[in-house]
This record gives sequence, C-alpha cells and structure tokens, in this order.
Amino acid sequence: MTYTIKGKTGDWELVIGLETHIEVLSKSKLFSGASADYNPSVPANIQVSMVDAAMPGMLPVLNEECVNQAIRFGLAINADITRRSIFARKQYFYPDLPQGYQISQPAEQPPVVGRGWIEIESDNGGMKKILIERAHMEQDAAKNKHDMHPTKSFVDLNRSGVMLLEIVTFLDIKNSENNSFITSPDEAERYLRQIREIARATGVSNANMEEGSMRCDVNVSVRRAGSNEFGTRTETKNMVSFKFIKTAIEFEARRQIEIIENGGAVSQDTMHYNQDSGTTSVMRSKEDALDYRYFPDPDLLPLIITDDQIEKIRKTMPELPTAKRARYIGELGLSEYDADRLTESIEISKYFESAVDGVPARAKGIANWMISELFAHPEFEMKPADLAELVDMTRDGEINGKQAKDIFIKMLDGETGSPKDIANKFGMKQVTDTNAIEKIVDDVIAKNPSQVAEYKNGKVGLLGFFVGQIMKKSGGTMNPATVNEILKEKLK
Amino acid sequence: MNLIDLTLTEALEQLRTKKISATELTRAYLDRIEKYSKELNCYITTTPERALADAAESDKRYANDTARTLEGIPLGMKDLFATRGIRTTAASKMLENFVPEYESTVSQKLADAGTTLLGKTNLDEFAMGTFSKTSFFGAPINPYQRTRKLTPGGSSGGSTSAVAGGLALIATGTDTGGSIRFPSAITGLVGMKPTYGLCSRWGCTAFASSLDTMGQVARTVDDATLMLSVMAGHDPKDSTSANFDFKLQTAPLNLKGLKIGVIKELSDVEISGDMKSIMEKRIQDMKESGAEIIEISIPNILDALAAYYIIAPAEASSNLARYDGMRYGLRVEGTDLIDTYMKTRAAGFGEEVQRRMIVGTAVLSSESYEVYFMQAARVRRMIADSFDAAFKKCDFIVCPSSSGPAMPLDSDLTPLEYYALDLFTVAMNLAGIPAVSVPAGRSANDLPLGLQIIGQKFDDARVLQVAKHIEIFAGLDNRPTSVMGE
Amino acid sequence: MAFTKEQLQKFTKLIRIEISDEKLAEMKIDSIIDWIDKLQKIDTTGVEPMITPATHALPLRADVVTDGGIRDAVLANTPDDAGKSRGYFAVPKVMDE
Repeated sequence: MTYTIKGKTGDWELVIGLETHIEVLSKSKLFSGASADYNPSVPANIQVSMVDAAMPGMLPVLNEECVNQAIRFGLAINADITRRSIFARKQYFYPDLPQGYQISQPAEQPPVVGRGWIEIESDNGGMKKILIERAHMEQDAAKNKHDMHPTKSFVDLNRSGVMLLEIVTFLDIKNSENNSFITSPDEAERYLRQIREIARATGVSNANMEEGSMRCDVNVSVRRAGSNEFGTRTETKNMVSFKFIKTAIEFEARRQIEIIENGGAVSQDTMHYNQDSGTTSVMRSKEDALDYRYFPDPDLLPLIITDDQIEKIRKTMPELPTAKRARYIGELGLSEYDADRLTESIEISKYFESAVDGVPARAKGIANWMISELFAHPEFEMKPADLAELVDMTRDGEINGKQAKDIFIKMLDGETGSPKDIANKFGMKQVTDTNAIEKIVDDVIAKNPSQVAEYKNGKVGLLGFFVGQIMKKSGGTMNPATVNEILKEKLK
Repeated sequence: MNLIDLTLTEALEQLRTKKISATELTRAYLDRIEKYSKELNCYITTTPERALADAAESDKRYANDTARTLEGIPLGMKDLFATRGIRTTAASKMLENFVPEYESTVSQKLADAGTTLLGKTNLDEFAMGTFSKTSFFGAPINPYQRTRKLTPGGSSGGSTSAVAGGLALIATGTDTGGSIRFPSAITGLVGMKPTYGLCSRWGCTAFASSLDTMGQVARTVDDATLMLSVMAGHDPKDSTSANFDFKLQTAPLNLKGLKIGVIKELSDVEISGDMKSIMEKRIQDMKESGAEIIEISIPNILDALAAYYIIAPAEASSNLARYDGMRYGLRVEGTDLIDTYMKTRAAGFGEEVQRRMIVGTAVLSSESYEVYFMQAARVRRMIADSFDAAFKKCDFIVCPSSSGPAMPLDSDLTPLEYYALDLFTVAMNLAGIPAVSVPAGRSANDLPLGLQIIGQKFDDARVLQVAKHIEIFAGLDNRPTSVMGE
Repeated sequence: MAFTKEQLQKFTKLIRIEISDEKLAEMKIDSIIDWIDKLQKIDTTGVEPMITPATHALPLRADVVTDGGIRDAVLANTPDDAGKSRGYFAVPKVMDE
C-alpha cells in the first residue's frame, strides 16, 4: 500500500523528490590545488589558494580524481556515465561565493553522471527502484560565521571549492509511467541511508550529516490517492538530519493538503524548516526566485570521458554493501541481522572476510564472535588469523565453547600468543573420550540421587543442573554435546 | 642617437656588444617618462626603483655572459597583468589600491627573460573601451600631434602611447575585440593579437574569457616576433591554454606564390579615403612581389560586431561579479549586505563597465539566453567556419585595422559609435585566429594607419613574416624622437 | 526584444549595481539592445554554438595539494580589518540563514 495521509476530503499521496549533496573525498579541491581535507581544527583561510579567493585573473583547473569519484559513484548507482559533459556558471551574490558564481553542470544536458537508480525497501514490503535523474559535480561554498562579531559575519574559505556531488531523483511530470519515486517519509530515509552507504562503500564521501558532508533539499508535493497528476511542489533546503527530514516532509505534506482542501493553491515556495517547532514556513516565494543566468563556463572546456577510463574504474570498484550482504547471506549462511552488522563499515567487512579467508564453514562462527565479543571490546585488536584459529579449534572439537571463551578472555587480559599457543600453555583441551566422560557422568548421577529421581519424574529442566555439575567436576573441558548425549542415555 | 630610438632588435645588439649598458638604456626611458608621462598619461604606476634594480641585474648578466632573451629591455606592462607587490588597478576605482601577492604568467615570463619593468600602463577600465577614455585615471593621449589631444586608442592605449612616444621600448597589451590592434594602428606601431590560448591568461584580470588574448605592442615586426617567443607557451594553470610550441621564426617568408585574401563583404564598409588608398597601395606592393590577391567571402563578418557585443558583455558581467567589496578592492559600507554590494559596485565601476554589465546580464537572463547569447554563439561558429573555409582558398587575409586615423579624445560619440570602431577587429577574436596590425601608411594629415594580416590558428610566426613585408613596403619612421621630439 | 524599464532595473539588482532610473535611461541601453537584436534575423538552424575557440580536450590536474597555506597573502587586500587579525574576511552581517 502506498503511504497516504488522510485529509478532510479523502486520502492523499506524497510525491517526494530529493536533491542530495555529498562532499566528495579528494586530496585537493575540485578546481584548485588547495587541500580539500576535512579537518575542523585547521584555522580559517589556510586551505585556500588565490583561485579559491577569486582574485583577479585566477582560473580553474579540473582535478582528475574528482572526475574518477564521480564515475565511481555513477557506476555504483547503475547510472549512465556521460562521455561529454560541460561546466556552467550558476550566478548569484553571497559572501560564501567568492567568484560571484558557482561552477556547476547545467540541467539542460546530461552531466557527468546521467540516469541511474538504487533499490530501497518499499513501504509495501519488497524492493522498489528509486530512479535518479543525474548526479553532477559542483563547487562547495565557504562558511559564514555570524557569532564572532556583533555587526559582521566572518567568512572562512577553507571549504570553498571542495567538490560536491549533487544527486537528483527523477520525476517525469508528463509521462507518469516512467516514474518510480519516493512516496513517504520512511522511504525518504531509506533512500538517503542507501545513498550514504553507497557513498561510504565506494570511498566517494563520508556522507556524514553532522559534519556537513551530506545535505538534502527536500521537494514535496501532494496529490489525491490514485491520481496521475502532479501538484505544485515546495522545496525545503539544507536538511541535515533524517529525523528532521521526515518531520519536515510530513508537516509540509499536511500543510499543502490543508491549503488545497480549503480551496487554495499551493505556491512554489522555498521553505525553511524550524527545528524547534518541527514546522516549515515560506522563505522565498517564486516571484523572488533568483535568475541564476547559467551559461557555459568559458574558462573550461567540455569534459571528455572515455570507455577505457570507465572500465579501469569499474575494475577497481569495491563490492557494494547490498551485493556483499546478499553474498554473506546466500553463500556464507549468515542471518540478515549478521549481514547488516558486518557491512556497517568497510573496515568491519574487510576484517570479517580476512578472518573467513575463503573457508565458508567458519563464517557463522566468525560472525558470532565479532558481533557478540569483538564489537563490545573495540579497543582489543585481535588478528583475523587468530580469530579464525579460535573458531576452527572449536569447530574441530579441539576445544569446547567455554574453553574458547576462556582463551579469548586471557587474550583480552594481555596473554600473548595465538589461541593454540594459549590452549597448549594452559592445557585446555576438550575431552571427547567417551570412557572418561562416562566415568564422570556416572559419578555425578551417583552423588545426586534425589535430582535423578525428580528428573525421571518429569523435571527435565534439571538436565542443566547435571551438566553444570559435570562441567565443574571436569574443569569445563568436556565436549558438551557428548556429555548431553551420554547423560540423557544414562538417565533413561 | 637618442637611445630611446633604438628598436628592440637594435637595443639587444648594442647591449650584447656592450656599446650601451642596461642601466643607461633604462635610465634613458626613466628620464623620458619623467619628462612626458604626465602629459601623455600613459602610466598609472611607474616603478623606477624596480626598473633600475632590474637593469643592474641585467648588467651583471651581460658582464658574466648569462644574458637572457630580452635582457635589459625596458618594458611597459598593461595594468591588467598582476605584478607581485605592485599595484594592479585594471584602471578602475574598484582596484585602485589592489596589490596582488602573485604574478601573472606572462609578466613572469617577461621578467624571467630579463626585461626591466618601467611601470603599469594605462587602459580602458577593465579593458572595456576603444579610446582608453573609461580609465579611472584619465585617458592617455596619442604622442602624434599631441597638442590636438588625439586618442591613442583602447583598451591598450597606455601601452601604445608609451611605446609610440618612447616611454617604453616594448609593452604588453590584451586584445579582446581589437584592443591591441586598433590602438597600435593609430599610433604607428606593430600590435598583435596572437592565436587564442597561445599566451596564458593566468593572472591577467579577466574581461571576456573566450575572447581575451595577451599580445605585444612594439615598433617593428621583428621586435613583436621576439616578444611573442617569450610570452607564448602552454600554462597548466590555464585550462584554455594551447598545447602549442611557438617556434621563433625570423627567416623571411617569400610572398611569391602566396595567396592573400581580401574580404568581399568589407568592401562596402565606409572607410576614410586615406585608408582605402593605403590598402590599395599595399595590396599592389604584395602583388608586385609575387603574391596572388584573391577575393574571399566571410558572409557574416558584418554581424561579428553584434555577436561580440553580446558575448563579451555577457562574459564580463560574470567575470566582474567577484568585485563585490567582500575580500579585496573598494568597499562602500551600506545599510546591509545587499546595500553594500549595490553601493560598492556603483561607486567602483565606471559608466561603460556598468553599461556592459547590464547588457551582459540582460542577454544571459533566462528569457533572453536562447535568443541573444546562444544565437550569438551560433553566429560565432558560422564566422569561425567561414574563416576556415576561406583559408582553404588563401594563405593569409589582409584588411584595414581601422576605418581611419586617430580621432580627438573629446569626440562625442555615442556608445554604439564607439562600438562600431571595432568593426575590423572583433571577428578574429570570435574565431580565435591570429592577426597583427602593422604600420601601412599615413593619412592625409600625417597620422598613422595600419593594416592587419590575419592567418589560421597557430600560424602566428608566418603571419608576422607576411606583416614584415607590409612594414617594409610602408617604410614608415616611427622612432619616438620623430613622433615627439627629444 | 526590447526590455522594459522595470526589467532593466531588475537586471541592475541582479548584478548588484545601484543605479537611479535617470542614470539608467542616460546609459541608452535600449539603443544597444535594438542594435544587437539584428542578430535574431540570421538563420542559425543546425549550427552548433561556439563557446570558446579552444578545441583541445579539457586538461586535468593530478590530485596533489600544491597550494594554500598563504593566509596572509589571501587576506592582504581585505577592505575590512575587523576579521583580519583572527584570520577571517569580515563582511556585513548576513541575515537570512
């Protein structure tokens, strides 16, 4: 069921478009040689060249890694990579825009990354494609600080000129059959989380909303449930929190529904979201809309990308989280939850795969250890090979689960050596000799006649008591499965 | 012989053979600057200390035999090129006190070749104009018949006034719609607009990015040729910089067998009788030397002016947006941010700059973009294609540099009448092809007139060599003492 | 395509130059627009626009830090010293953020 909001006169659907900006990782800036490294502790106006400061006679030169990052992202969202695209100037005046224009890529022709798509979980259950119109390269703006002086704002150009990739979702107003778009606040969140995941997995961006490396402009319009028409949309800019984005969408949709149901018309406004009240208000109406006077930047020439370039990058693309998760579940037998946790970051999945090291039978064991133990002890650096050994020793029956835990704890406490070394040092070896086990089982049964009687009368929970006694007596060295088997047999 | 009458080639010869010293030569120029620069107003900033320091260095190098290509040559630098530590104003109130902490590529190359920097020459504000009248520092005057206060042309009027009057041996210029060629023609000099991208634009205040071309102002073709060999070269800091290795060619080019084109569509344009007859004379000279004169067609050449006056203001309106009073240059405090922008830019820019910025904004506005800017860009393509087609029929093209000689500074022309003066020069900027104006004769009242030799992209060396023939045919004396006296 | 007085005033605001209506009229911008209008009569069907005479491929630079760390030089010409000593450009307070 498509998400709907109940209005006075019936149900309404939402049409949501997102323009997401991610700050792209590179050593130097998009068009200047100054550092693009994100480091809040760097003082103002250090990572700034004369080009960034827009001094007379300064000119832009395109960074090749920035182009590669755009291609990487494009491949990851199944997009066409445009072989010939141009740069254009988007012109307006603001202190955070030294040139008086932003170098971007115009809308009339496909930018470096053309049409693509990603898949998200739909509200209906099942998967849904969200079509992407384009992703283009553009310069980021500087930062204005308003709290450093009573009557002036202070401008820091450190981030000015860093590359942004603007990702725009697709909407065909004329032919509704061509569409597959976001229809609810939850879907919006899922979409953004996916974009973030892809950006991180490809190394294109940290896509961190708190740090400002991911921002979103949210376009919302409403229409009566089942309609194929599109209403007038509003735009709420610079959202940097999933929660606020969802609230803003909800509020904006309801606001529009109320206007329409009261006989009014929604006007194409730019809205401002108020975090404290969770409401939106008009910031800029269409009449004030700036004419950006886009025109092709005459300081730059068309960007030509070759098939070879794309193939080269395609070959070095990392496996994306979605594919990785599918592989963990399908080939390595992990649960969905485990797969999600182990693909939370590139480092985690790297560690996991390093420990599994081509032995699928280990996978579940490695996963369990990582999720229940290693994640709880982030300061403990365990070599993947050691974890693999621990898991193997348990699988092979050399040690039992408890012994494995003990070895781990010893390693946590600083014991050096591999798990095998430690097992040998402390004489931890699982006892599997059935005669030896039988001896102890007999012994425990003999010493606990009343419990035996209770057990035989139906209190099957007492099995755990017997196991505990046996483990104590044996110093925890016995194979629990064998103990259970023999115990049950003897208690018949 | 007055040292300032030496050409570049002659001066180098005398310096190399130690007949004169660099300090002597530079002193001669500094003396003449002191004598005449107030009257000619060809310099915005003079740098005598720097010039003498440069000259001292040059003398050292001549002494220990490490002289560079232009060692000890006194140079005027159009005040558009950023010179580190030296005020660079673009002849605008907006940048009246702007001192760059960087050096333009072209000025660095000239410095590295051993020139001595005399100062920053006057120009039209932000290179927008034809008489150098829009300069915040007042217009320079033409050294020819200087009591008449004629214009030395624009926008590189300070450079041409200086070189013609002997206040610089060579000077740099920029040519966006004719701003080197037109002023050079009416001051009896050789002025070249090289192929677009041959010389780097980095560090030179931008007017119209796809049209701005850095070039030379000199007294002879040989001088201009040597200058170009130093100024040209690929610059990785300029994305539009050409990957072309300009090779210095001084071997004369035989006119015999060369096809010289005359543009059919220009024959009906009204030009002064003097210009007409000079053109005929020089064409005849070329014919007699064995060149074949053929008529070629550039069908839209008369539309080049309108196309130029759409594209150049459009690009300028964008390039000058950075002059906003926020990070450098003039600031006039207003009541708030927007008011500060409005007042700063109203006070900082002169009328012609404002006019072009408004026109530029108009032609880029969303409702006009297709019919003005894009239409002009298409006409531009047609003109460039026409030149390509013409060069399949001829090797070089000849045409006037102007419709007549220098006019009085106080000529009261409408904006459109000023723009019309660019008629013979803008098309080459649109196409990006090289063109050099060379002294070709004198008007009836003895004022210089020039002709242009135009060639295909990157054929700059041969364009100069053809121009040399015109120079020889015309045989004009443009020594500064002849023009202005001692 | 003539522009009305209002449109021209709008352009002056877009370009952030304060000009009175009188001054604007004196500039004779309409005469220039009328003149450049003649380009519209030219049939340019099928012609690719030309943005630059340069025909080479857009050059790319290697991703290496080659610039920056020149704060004093960058701030040297600032017209407002209020922020300079703290390493910032000081500008009139920005309101609508």
